[in-house]
Amino acid sequence: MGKGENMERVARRSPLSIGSTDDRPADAASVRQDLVLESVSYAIAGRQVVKDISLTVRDGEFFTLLGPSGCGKTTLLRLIAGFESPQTGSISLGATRLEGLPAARRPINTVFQNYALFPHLNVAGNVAFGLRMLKWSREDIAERVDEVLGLVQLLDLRHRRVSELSGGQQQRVALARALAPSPKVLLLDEPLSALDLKLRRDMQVELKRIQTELRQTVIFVTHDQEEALSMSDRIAIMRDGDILQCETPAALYTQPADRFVAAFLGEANFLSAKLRAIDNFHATVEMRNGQTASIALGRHMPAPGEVTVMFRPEDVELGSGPGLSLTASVIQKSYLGSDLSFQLHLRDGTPVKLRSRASAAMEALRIGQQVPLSIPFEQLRIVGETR
Amino acid sequence: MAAIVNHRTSTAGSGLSLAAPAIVLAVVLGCIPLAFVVVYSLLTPASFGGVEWVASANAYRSLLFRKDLFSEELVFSPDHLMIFGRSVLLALATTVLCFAVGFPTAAYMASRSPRARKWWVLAITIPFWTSLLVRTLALMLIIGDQGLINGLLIRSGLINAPVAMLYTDFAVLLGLLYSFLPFMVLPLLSSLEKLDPRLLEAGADLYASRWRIALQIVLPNIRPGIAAGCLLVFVPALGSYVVPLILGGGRSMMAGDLIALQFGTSRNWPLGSAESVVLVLFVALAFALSNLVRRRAA
Ligand SMILES: Nc1ncnc2c1ncn2[C@@H]1O[C@H](COP(=O)(O)OP(=O)(O)OP(=O)(O)O)[C@@H](O)[C@H]1O
Ligand SMILES: [Mg+2]
Repeated sequence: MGKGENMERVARRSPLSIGSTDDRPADAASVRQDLVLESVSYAIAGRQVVKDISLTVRDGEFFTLLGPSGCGKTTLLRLIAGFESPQTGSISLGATRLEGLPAARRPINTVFQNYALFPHLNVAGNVAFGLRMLKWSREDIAERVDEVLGLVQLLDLRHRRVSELSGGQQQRVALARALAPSPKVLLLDEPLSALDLKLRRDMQVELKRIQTELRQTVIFVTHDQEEALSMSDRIAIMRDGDILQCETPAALYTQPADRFVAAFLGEANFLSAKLRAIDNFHATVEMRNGQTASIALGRHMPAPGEVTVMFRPEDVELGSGPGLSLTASVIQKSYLGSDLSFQLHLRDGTPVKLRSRASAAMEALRIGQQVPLSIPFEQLRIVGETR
Repeated sequence: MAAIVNHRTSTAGSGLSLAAPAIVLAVVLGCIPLAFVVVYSLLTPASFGGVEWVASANAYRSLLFRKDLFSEELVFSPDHLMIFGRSVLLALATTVLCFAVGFPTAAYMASRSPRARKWWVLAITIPFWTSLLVRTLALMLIIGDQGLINGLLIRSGLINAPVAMLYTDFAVLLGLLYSFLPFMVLPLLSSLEKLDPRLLEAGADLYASRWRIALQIVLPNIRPGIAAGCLLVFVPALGSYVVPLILGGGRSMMAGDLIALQFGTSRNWPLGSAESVVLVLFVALAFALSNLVRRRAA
């Protein structure tokens, strides 16, 4: 079933539908409903937990909030869902402002961090709950419950008590319950964190499939960077109530704006250097070893003085070559399946990581050995120092 | 309270040995006296109180029939039925009223911070530091014809003659509500404290109004507390004696009065015992019902 039909159904039956007011086209699906946060701040007990956050989540987008524990991800979701209201700033969905609306009037559904399934209802009862509250007819509810349970592949368990479900099944029920009323925005708060690795990977694929199929707008919270990279259209990196950078996974990985983002997504090496010259596209820097490098400007605009140069372990090559040349001694060697990973130290003690496919030359490296390294100039980035 | 006891026994792995003191207590304080009552109900009354050891089912017969004075025939008499019926009704009304007042109270208390909640629990239980008799007499002073409420109403000119409140069913109900409210509030509170607040948020998230959250999420999930609270109110209300006597003015007899009467003025111990047995059966029924509710909730 297509999203258009889906939304029409909600427009017809739901008093909450906000995509079909009179001054809008009849086809609700043709109206883009971006979720827009403007300068949203929120403090708990005098402490700023969300600091002046502005962001736009586009209609149909899989948007991820990624950040360490306690950075305010859940709080931001709660502000969007309507469980808390921001002290300043505005939140709107399409043309509707959400600030004044209580959670029960927002066409936004949540999959909670611990699922929060209703223990007194069975699987079908849980999924039907939102539809009953929206006063759908009995037949429509039955039809929709079947449809959504089919989507999460739980049709066989519809009469089970939720206490008799496995973690993965509970997670699917929570997803089905939130999807059933066809919310404009679906909020997922670390929905996979309670699952073991294998199940987690399966659920990631499934969740992504469902999201694509429904073209569902999703805001997904996680602190697992791999999960974020593999599923998201865009990722916002959060730290201490702030969004540091918000872009596609590829852009975040290849063009991190600052040290925190670079280190949080994947592994990163950092060297300090001096800025010598700067034009519209390039910065010329002088490395500690005297070598100068011309680095394409990315997301960070360096200021004169000390700058931080970043490169990824997989871009480090063994042996001397064109690009930045370094000499380092091997400290540690570890096997990562088909890859080998080395910890090295430069002469001044700066740590450098190298990661590469295992090869004879790599295997031959011994702890303590001095080796030449090279990094192509185009793999160097200048990143900001995180405040 | 009952919920807690229940919880304890069900988690005790080596049940029997841990429960031994409780079992001994139950036998000594519960079963033995009850056995006495049952035996007495099957004997013949002695003329000046006490019993004669002659077996007889007369006591039970006279619950439903009385002997015609002239023909000595047994005639159906609804007196007992009416008194028991009235007692059950009053106990039910008390239970419903206690729930109606107790649930919002407990819900409010549960929504406070744990520290504030402790003060509320204290406030709810303070009246219990004095005896039931004193509390009931105090209530009498408040609702009597010359009492606080009528005094205020007359002085403010709203009425010119006192409204009769004392010695009415209203007074009895008010007294019972006042006496038993904490027995409803505390088990409800204990259940509400265990309720995951995220369930309420999940309800709001899924478009439920506050009213529907209360009815469709809170109530079904605190059924054990409701069962315990209703039992703790219904059982003592059914056998209540002091409150109906004082606040009802002895106008309408209750099961408790009736039993007291047989052991006192009427000197018919077997009949009193038979009446007690009937009362115990009602209580057993209430227990069975509340257990059913709790089992379905588990
Ligand atoms: N009720 C509260 N009272 C006081 N501080 C709170 C409260 N709720 C959250 N906080 C604080 O707000 C900050 C953000 O919390 P939040 O739950 O949003 O973090 P999070 O990013 O979701 O973390 P996690 O990944 O661990 O779930 C934390 O520092 C936390 O200590
Ligand atoms: Mg969280």
